[in-house]
Amino acid sequence: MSRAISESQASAAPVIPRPARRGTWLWRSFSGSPIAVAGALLLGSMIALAALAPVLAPWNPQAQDLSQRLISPTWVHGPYPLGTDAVGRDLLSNILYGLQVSLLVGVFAIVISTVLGVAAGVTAGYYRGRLDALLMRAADMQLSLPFLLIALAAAAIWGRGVYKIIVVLGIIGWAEFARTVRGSTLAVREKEFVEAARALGAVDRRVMLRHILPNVLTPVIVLISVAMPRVIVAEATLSFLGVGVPLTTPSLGLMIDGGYKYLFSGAWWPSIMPGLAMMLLVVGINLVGDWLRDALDPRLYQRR
Amino acid sequence: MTRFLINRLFQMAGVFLLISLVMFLLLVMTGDPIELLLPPAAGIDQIEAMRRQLGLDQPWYVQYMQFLRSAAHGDLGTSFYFHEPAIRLVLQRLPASLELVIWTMVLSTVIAIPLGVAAAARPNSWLDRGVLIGSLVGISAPTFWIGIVLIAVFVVFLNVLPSSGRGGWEHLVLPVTTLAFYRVALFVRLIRAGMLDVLGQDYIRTARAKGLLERMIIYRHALRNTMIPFVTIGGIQMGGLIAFAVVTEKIYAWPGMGRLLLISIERLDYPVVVAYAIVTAALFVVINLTVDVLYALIDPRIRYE
Repeated sequence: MSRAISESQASAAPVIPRPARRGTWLWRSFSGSPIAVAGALLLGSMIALAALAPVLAPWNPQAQDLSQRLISPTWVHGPYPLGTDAVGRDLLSNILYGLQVSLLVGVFAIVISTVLGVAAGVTAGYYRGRLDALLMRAADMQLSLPFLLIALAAAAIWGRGVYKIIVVLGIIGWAEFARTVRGSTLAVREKEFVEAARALGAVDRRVMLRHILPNVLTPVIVLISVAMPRVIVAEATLSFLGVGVPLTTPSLGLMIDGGYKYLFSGAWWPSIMPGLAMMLLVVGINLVGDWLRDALDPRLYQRR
Repeated sequence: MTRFLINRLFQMAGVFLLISLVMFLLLVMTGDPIELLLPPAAGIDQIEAMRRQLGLDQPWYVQYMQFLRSAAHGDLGTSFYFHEPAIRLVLQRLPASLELVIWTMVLSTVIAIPLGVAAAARPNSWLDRGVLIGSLVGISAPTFWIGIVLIAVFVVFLNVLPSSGRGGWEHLVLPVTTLAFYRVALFVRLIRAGMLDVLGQDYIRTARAKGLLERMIIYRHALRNTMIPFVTIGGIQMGGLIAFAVVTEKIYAWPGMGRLLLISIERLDYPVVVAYAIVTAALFVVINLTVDVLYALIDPRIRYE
């Protein structure tokens, strides 16, 4: 008991005060950057639109009405503000629910990637040796192939499904996280407070979870902001190619796939509108991510 | 250098073998092409005969060894659907896909380098801001959607370019622009960030102090050091382009190997899918090795000892 307390005291000094200080200047750098604020507002409103889809959507997204097919957008007035698709489904309602699916896939896939990648990276960097070599060789091999191609192969073979896409995109994402976290772990494990914790008798698992993990998370946050747009676009792309989510799911990629055949009859809205919504979502994430990257970049950090 | 390259070749051979095994296992585990190939009314003995003929009655490892043995002889099996050698089907369509990939790389580089350099030379100018906003849109828009917007504008409304098929340069314009959109945006950001980094360094100040022309400083001293990360990302992007070509080939009905892949996935035509994976893996080996060699050419400090 007493050993546990003294050990946490030993580690408390270097670990705890830093995030607090970082938090306040992070806020100051955020509120001082109009681009970051604009990005957060955009991202926030897209998330709100997705979350409030059941309230905001004027129609059931699946409700078809062949007498109302390919109605052009009326923008403000009329029953279909953004028009309807080829089977008379309301575009606005479908886009709202589609954003929901995009965000769900993005968030859950990133959670899987982060957990797998951080676990593998910390373990590899902490234990070094053969396990490290094996994991990093596997990551290198995977990273030598394009993300989308692996996802395409896996999704094509496993079949359509929302949770399947989440698992596929989540697992493929591990490598980048693992490599980055391993690098940081290698640096952190040599620090005095890790040595102190070990000298005080902390077991490996405790050292990794309590002392190394909190100190390697900054680059992980930046990686998440880079990986999230990629995952969201990947889901849409796979759905567009016909290997993504099931046909009954309101997915932006599926909507674009279903809509682009009608371009030639002049109906541009069923394919252009959902893409526009997706782009606004991704622009929001990228704006916030750009700012985060600048704010957390260790090189810029030292110049302050 | 030679030893390094040989090492890399072995490593790539490993990747190669792994891809073939994974592809093979995944394909064996899922879907039975017999159901698709024979009419539903086919009798049991007809099914059995077909199965024997395609070698599907053997255990998976026997199938895989057979597959490897014939793969070494350049035979990756016969397409269940086309009844032609799978490798030939893929290779026939390879030039069409490479045409897209290479022109996209050329176009993206030619546009991105001067734009990125000009933006970095005058940070916060209107050009710099325009470039930043444009590149943000470029990296945020899904490639397949860009393709659709381009069709809507240039084919449906302006009616100045063809929307599908392969032929003269006018058939190349839209697919290549679609693919280049994201790459230009990414490369511009990369070049701009790299240039800003380099332009702040001491040797640039020295060069300025010597009274060299600004153009000379930028292109001879600064750009060269910006090219190293650019080559890495460029190599990765070229690999990614092969994947994104699948998307573009679908939109523009481009007769490349990506479209063949999508059709073959739909028909559970394993040999073609595996042949596609093998050919693509070979392309990655070539691209990765080229990037390694380019490194050494651009940066004399890298010697691979």
